[in-house]
Amino acid sequence: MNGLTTPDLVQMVAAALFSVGVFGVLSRRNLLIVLMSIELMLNGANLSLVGFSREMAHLPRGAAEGGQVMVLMAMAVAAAEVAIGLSILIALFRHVRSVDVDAPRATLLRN
Amino acid sequence: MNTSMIPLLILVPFLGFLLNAFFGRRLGKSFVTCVGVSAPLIAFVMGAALFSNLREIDSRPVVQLDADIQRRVYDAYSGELARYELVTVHAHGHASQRQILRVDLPYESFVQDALAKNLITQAELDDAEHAEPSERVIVAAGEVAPAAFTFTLGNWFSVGGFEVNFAFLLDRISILLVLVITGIGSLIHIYSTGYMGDRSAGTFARFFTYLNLFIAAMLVLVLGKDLLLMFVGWEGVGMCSYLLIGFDYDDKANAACGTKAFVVNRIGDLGFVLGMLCLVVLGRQAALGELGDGVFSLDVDFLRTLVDHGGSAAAAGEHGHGGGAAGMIGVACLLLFVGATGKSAQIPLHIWLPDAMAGPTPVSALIHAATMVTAGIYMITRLSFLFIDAQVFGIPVLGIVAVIGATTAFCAGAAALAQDDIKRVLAYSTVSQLGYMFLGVGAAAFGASMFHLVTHAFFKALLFLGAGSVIHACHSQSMSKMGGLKDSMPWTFKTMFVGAFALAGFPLLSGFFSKDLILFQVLARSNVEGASWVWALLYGMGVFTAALTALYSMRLIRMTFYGSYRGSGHPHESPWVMTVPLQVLALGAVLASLLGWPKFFLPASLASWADMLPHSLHAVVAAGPTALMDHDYLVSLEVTGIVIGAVVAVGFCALGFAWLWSLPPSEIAWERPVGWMRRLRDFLFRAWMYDEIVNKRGAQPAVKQLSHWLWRWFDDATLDQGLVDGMGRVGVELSHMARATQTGRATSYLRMFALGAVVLPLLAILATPLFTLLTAWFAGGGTH
Amino acid sequence: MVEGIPLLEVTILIPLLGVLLLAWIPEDDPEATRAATLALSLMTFLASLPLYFMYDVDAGGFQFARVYNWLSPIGAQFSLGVDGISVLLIVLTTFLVPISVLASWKGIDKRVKSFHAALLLMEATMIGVFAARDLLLFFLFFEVQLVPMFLFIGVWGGEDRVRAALKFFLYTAVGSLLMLAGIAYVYVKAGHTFDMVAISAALPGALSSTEQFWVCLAFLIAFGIKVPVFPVHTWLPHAHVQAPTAGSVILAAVMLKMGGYGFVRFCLPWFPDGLVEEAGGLFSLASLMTWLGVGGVVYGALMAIAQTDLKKLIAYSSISHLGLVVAALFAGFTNPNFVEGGHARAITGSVYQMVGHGLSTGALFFLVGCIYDRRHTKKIAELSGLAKPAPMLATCFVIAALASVALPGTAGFVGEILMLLGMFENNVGAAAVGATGMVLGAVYMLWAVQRVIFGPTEGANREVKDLEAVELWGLVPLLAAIFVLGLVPGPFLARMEPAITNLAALYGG
Repeated sequence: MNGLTTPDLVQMVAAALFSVGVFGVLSRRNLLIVLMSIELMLNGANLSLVGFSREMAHLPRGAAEGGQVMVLMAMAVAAAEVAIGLSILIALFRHVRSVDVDAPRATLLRN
Repeated sequence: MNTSMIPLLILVPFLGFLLNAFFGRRLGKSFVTCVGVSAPLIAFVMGAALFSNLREIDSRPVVQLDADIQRRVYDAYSGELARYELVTVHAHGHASQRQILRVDLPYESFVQDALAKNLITQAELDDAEHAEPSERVIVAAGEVAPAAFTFTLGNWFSVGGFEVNFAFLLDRISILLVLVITGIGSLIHIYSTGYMGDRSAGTFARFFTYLNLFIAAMLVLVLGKDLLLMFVGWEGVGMCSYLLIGFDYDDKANAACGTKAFVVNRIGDLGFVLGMLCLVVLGRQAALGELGDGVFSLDVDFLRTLVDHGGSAAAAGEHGHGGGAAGMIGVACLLLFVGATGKSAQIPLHIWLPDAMAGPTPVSALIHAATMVTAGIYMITRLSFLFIDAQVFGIPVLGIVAVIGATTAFCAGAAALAQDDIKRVLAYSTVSQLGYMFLGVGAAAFGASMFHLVTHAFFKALLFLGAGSVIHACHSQSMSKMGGLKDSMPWTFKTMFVGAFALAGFPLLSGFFSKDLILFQVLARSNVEGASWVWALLYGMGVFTAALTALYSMRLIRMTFYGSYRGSGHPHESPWVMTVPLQVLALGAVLASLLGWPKFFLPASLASWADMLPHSLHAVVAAGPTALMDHDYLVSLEVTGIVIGAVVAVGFCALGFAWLWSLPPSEIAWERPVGWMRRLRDFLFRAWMYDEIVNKRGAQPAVKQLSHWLWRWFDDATLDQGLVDGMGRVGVELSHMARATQTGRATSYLRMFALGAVVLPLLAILATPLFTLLTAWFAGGGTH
Repeated sequence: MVEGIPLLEVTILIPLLGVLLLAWIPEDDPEATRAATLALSLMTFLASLPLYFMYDVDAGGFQFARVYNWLSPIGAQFSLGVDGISVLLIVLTTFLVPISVLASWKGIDKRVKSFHAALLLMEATMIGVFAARDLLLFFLFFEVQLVPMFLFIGVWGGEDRVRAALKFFLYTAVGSLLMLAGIAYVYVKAGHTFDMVAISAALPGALSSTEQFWVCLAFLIAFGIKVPVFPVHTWLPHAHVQAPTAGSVILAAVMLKMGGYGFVRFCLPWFPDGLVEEAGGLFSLASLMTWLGVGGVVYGALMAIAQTDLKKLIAYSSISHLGLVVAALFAGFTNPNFVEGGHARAITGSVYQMVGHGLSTGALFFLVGCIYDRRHTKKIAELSGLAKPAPMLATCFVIAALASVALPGTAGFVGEILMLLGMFENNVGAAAVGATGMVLGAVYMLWAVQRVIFGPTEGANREVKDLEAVELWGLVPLLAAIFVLGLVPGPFLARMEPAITNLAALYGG
């Protein structure tokens, strides 16, 4: 298999996922979508890690599994982060009555 | 005893100043009068006592014995009574060392003893006593009165080798001025008790406080042996002049005149200070040379040794100020002369004196006629040994002095002819007469100038005090509102009559002899080779000015005292406190001529009384080139000069008195001028427009404009608001720009995160190759 | 030295403890506060007198020296000591603080306690500046004394006081920052020590000519802002106009002298090669400072002529007078044929003039304060003919004005003559330009006197009352001191002599 190998494809998909996530974070107006995009970025990074982990299988003493362990850790942290993020969102919503990023009272921290 | 009286001379008026200042107002006018008048009087008495002690120098016998006889005398008296001494003899502007034999016996006893012991025969003694003056050598000393008393109070300050001492010197030049200051000063003080008699106690006290302080400061100036101490007095009198001109400070104009006087004086003082500094530098070079002991100062004796050792040794190598020491002395003298023009109101710094007439008349009499303004002439006479050979770019400094003196005399004399205010006539007259004194000094006729200084002090003070009397009576200073006062103010009239004729140089009055002595010296100078045409021109100017002097003096007398009274009210004679000083001064104005009676007017038996005052100064001042001229030729020149002077004086007095101003002013063309005469008179009235052009339309607005412009556009707008506040504004602007990133919007923050996440790793990766690239580029001088 | 009593420390401690003492006085008793502060400052003055009288002139050098352990790990000690120059400036300081208390007796009526506490703190730190023998300690005191002055101007000042206070503080602090960089450099190069004696021994050898140039430049800028030298002077007029009387007196009389003191203590002995080094073949630092100095004389005088506010006029006159002081310090280095005696004379005159100027300008500001207390204006146009209703005030004002113009008999004359002489011996042109200050000074000063003191008395000026006892108690010693220094300069000059001879010899060789 010359040209694109499976590991390359995995990385490309991961990069694509990550980029989609970045794009979403930077350009979406709805805060929920922004949070979802952040999740996408995380998952893209996870996918990349798993892909590399499979490539490293020849390493001794379970070094390859380290990647998958990192992914599991990241997922746990992501879950916690999503919970907190959504609570902040709800708290903000209570004040501003909107999930629009550019809502007038959402920029109270402006200088 | 003598020397310790010197500081007392200064302390007594100073004490008077303190007493009047602190207690005058409280203790009333009689206290102030007592203290204020007695202070200068006591000083005058002390001065007279010191004068009589100084005078004995002439009674010291002078004989010359040749070497054999000296040997015999020495052997006979050797040991305690006879010894050889080395003295410095000053003649012809040079100093030489002569060895004399001094015998400590009174002359008479010495002669008797020597004859008895056959040391000398009567014939030899007769020969010796009739030798030429320049060959005379002191042999028998007896009781030698010193030519000068010095007194040092102590060290003022010294840094490095530079010393300034409180040193005082009373010699024949200073005693003259001391007597004038204290004598005429006392008369003016007495006069002032009448003139200021109707003022309040506080004002009266203040006036005498300032007057006493002035006398003290002027005495410091005259007695100071160290040039810096003289400068202390110099500035001190300037300060007193400032306070006294602006004495009636209610009037804004008076204070302004006082300020003008002080500022113009200060410009002169700047020159004086720079001149002093030049001399100190010279002194340092000499002191640190082989001959010096590392100590240098502005002491007059030290300066004398500087000149004596000339441009020798020490001056070589340092600085190279245009020709070594000689050039430096020339520059220093020129700068000192600038100071003199400021203090003595000569061109170009004369503009303050006419305005100084804003002060009370006794002030004008004392300060601006008799004493302070003569300080410049005194200074040059005191430093005559310095000025005598001083040159700047080949031009002798004394020549410049003479030219400026003559020019000032002429211009001021013309201006006096066009004034209406009686005090301004006298002010310009003073400037003119001071010009004469500078002309005399410039011709190296120091004795003649001092003689004129003394006579001028008498008659000018007299004229001013008389004018004060008139002003007091008429309540006006304008001559066109006077007239016909000769009957209502007889004493004032008589004394001012004498004074005016003395000023005009009428024969046999004091002004005649003094002025003509100066002019004679100028005439003699023009017969010495070297730019003689300049001196001839100056002589002509002097004679022409004498004519002008006669004219304006007569005009003054005519307009003030003759005709009918043109003012309002009934003027009457002043009280005796005011007229008695006038009488004394008038007597002085007449008798002062005795101080300088020319020799050929006197019979041979009284020959030693001729030219008393000028001759008395011969030993102390440098001698000019005329001293070497043939004696008989000089006498013929003197006679010529006297004749010309007499003719001019009598002629123009007659012209002025009997013809030009014999009619009432309304019928005299000059007093009601039209056409060209009006323009001429206006031009002269404004003193050749000098003050207008240079000061009022020149210096003053220029300085004010410059400072306003500089302040508004440079200091305030550019430096302060532009640069300093500008930097503040830049800081604020930068922070505004930085604040733009704090939008409060989550999106923009995220954008910044993303940017950072990309850029920073990039930098980290590229850092090392970039760094090596950059250093290679800089180290390689910009080439790859 | 008085056995065992650490005089120098006592002189600094009395005001510091005084600050604490003032806290006990109730706020509603301003009289007690004023009396206490007066007593404390007089005590400090008396404590400083032995420093002056017992200074051993023959021995010279630093005396009353003590070293305490402070920050040894970085080489900074709490080291104090005075030599002839600093002892004069310290006595000047302690002499002027009681007078400032008297100056503000009537003028300050709100927050009286804080005012006097700040005044005492300032006194302690000013003495510290002059007594410090450790570079870090010097810097500490130098910076700290900005704070009470900032408060003076900002709290008790005039209408535009906040801006003036800010400008003063920031401007001076920027300069000090540069100086800190210089200090750091010197610290490293001189062997990681801040001790001034050790640094004096190491320098100037330890630094190359170029290094000296840059470090000296840093110091020059810092002290130049303090003096102030043209063109970094624009903070001074604002500060003076807005400051209360006591603030102005202290500012003009003492604080400005710290700049001059810094020049004498640091720039002259440590960086002689740097001063002479020509930057780009164009100018050396010494000639720059000399010509900025004499330029400042003329410039300051011209500015003073244009002023309509009396305090601003006197502020610019300070710039003019101190311009000559600065120029005299550096003129010696501009002469390729260095005249050591002349340089010594110039520095002597400069330091003497610092003291004399402090006294005469202090008196002038004192009197302006008296006028302000009565008329509530400093504008010349609104004042006229004060001689009639207030003759004593007028007399004192004229005396102070004449002292400021260096009339012989006053302290200014001795200083001026020595400075001009010293400068003349090394740099004739600069001396000639600087001497024109004599004339220009008379112009603006006497013109101001003519308008304010003399002339007809108009309007509200007629009700001006004459000087009161409190004011006279402050003014008379000041004027008397001016005459004492003018007529008997000997003892004062003697104390300065050893220090200055050493200084001049350093470069002469």
